[in-house]
Amino acid sequence: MALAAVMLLGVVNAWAHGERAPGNPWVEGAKVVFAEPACLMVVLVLAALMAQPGQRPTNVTWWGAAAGLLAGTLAAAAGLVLDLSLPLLALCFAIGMLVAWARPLPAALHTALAVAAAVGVVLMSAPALTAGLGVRLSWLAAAGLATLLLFANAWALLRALLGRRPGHIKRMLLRVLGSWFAAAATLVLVLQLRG
Amino acid sequence: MMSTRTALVAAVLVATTGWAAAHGGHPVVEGDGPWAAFITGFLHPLTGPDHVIAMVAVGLWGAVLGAPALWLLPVVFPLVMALGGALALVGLPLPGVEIGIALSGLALGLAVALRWRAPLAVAAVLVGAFAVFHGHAHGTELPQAASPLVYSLGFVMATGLLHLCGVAFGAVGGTPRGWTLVRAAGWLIAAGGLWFLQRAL
Repeated sequence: MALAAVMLLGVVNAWAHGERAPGNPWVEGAKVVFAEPACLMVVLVLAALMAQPGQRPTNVTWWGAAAGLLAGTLAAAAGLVLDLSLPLLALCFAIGMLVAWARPLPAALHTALAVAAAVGVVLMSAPALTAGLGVRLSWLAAAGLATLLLFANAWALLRALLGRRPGHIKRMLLRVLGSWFAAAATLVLVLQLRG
Repeated sequence: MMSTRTALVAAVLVATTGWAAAHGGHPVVEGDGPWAAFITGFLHPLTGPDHVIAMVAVGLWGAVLGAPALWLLPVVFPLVMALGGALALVGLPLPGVEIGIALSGLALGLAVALRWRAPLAVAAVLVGAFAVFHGHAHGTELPQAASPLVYSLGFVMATGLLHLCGVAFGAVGGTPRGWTLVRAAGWLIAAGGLWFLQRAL
């Protein structure tokens, strides 16, 4: 519950302050994942997938997520700038549908989704190219750490909240949750594709 | 005992949404940040009584039908509702949106009141068809939102929570007296749907 409160405070604080403002790169980098709705949603829906009963994410999945964050950080630090809002929304839709489907998935698919989400979130979190390399690296490291912490906390929180309930109730609640993410992502995908 | 408590919580939530709806219009929270967009989106279904009764009826009907309709209907509804919203976003007009929304309350209320044990596919198609109208109504307001993603997440979450209120209220249906209560709620919803239908016509 305390972790949930901290996460919620992070979201409220980041949303209240809006645009990416210049300041301490560690603080600003850590806030990006909360302030960008597409990043926040993809991390949360991935946590819901991993918390789904019957899913068996292995250590490779966690290491894959960490490697994805590192690869994204290096690419962004090297100056790669991409607008990944559409791919992240598509990923959010796909993962939401998998949560609603609630069938056990192979560990390789978990890992692939975790890597894709991690790379996408960090690349979306990159600061302006005008910032110096030191500032960029601090910003990206903070964004990567915040992403990893948010993911781990959301996963642990879901497991704790659903822990004592029977498997079919857990599965039902997560199915409904997954459909919410998929529906919201669908609407905004269409809105963005429409231009 | 547990189911009675759950149903009471659901009844309070539904009464709260009714109170919000009674105060008229869809409120817009001032501000250009995602938080304001989320609250505005969240309040959108809660402040439309025609939406509220249909959403609760979806959950109640799921409870009447039992598993797997219990979770399938609340999953189908938001997904198809998003498609309805997409129709509005690409500018495809849907005639009789208000009539469709009112009919959803009437038909789903009757399904609950009469304890219609429809086959799963029929129930899913019927709920999905009504969801298109609700989605179209929400979708027309999406482009004006400060943060469309957060706005849509807000209204999808509120919709889903209303379904879960219906499911929770349906939990009292385990006893004969409970079924009477659930069926009474179905008749009330159907009456509300009929009232909205005559207004839409």
